[in-house]
Amino acid sequence: MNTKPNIEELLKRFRSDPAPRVKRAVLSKYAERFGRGRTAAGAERLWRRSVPLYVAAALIVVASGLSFVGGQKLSRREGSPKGTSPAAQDTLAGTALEQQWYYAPSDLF
Amino acid sequence: MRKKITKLSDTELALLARDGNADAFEEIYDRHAPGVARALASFAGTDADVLDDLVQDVFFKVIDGFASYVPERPFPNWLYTVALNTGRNHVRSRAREIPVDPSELDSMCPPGNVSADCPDDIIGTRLLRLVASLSEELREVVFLRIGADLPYGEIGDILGIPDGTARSRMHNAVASLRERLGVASPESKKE
Repeated sequence: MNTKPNIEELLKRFRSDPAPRVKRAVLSKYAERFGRGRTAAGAERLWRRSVPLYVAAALIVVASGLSFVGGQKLSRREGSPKGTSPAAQDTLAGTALEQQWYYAPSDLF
Repeated sequence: MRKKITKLSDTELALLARDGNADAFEEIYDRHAPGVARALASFAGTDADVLDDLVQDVFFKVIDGFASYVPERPFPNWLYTVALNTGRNHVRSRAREIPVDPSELDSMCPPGNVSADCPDDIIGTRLLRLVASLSEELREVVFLRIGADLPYGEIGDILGIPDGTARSRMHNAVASLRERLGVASPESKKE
């Protein structure tokens, strides 16, 4: 005979798990109230994790751009033929641009 | 991600949910919805449809009121304060319809014949119906005690009473339920 039931424990044993429709309604209301759901939160996490990659890529692009522009400015100094530095002009002056070729008989036969 | 979420405390989850983390909010719901339903049964009886509506109402209020939640207060205390107010409103709106009719269970477990043949969950269900007939001050202590298993100190904080008073009210509630259920108290059995 169970004549001394623990009233508090018996009360705690009552289970009434809310129906699935309640959970759906509550989660739907939450998503509506906060304006974003699980997908948006996941996308935000992915974005945060990718930020260092984006920054590094941006730095590389900027450095390449500056290097290219600097090189262009250097090559466009006033009075210099396009694409050739003055020192190179001096070296080339008076140099014959003709070349002579000959083939050894062993190359031909 | 979900695995990590389950290891967080209620208050940590609440802060994440307040900032829009849907996984954290779902975990809060899974942890507390059954307890909130059980606690509300002490106000509204054990009708599943009524309890479902009340649980939904509680969590809707939680969502709307998240902005006012501060982490200094343990989340369960805040949640059960919302649930308590929902239960009070329900009783006020249906003052003459409190289901205090355990007779439909009598064929299974007649009053005064609480034996090993009567499953504990049936006794618990009848008890909850009887709780609805207790005075408001006793019922509210039972509500917080059985729903969230809160310590008497925290129950006292929520109700604005000393913890000794909360303990005393629970004792009186249990004695009253024991009497209404037709079960001798341990003390009277010793005599």
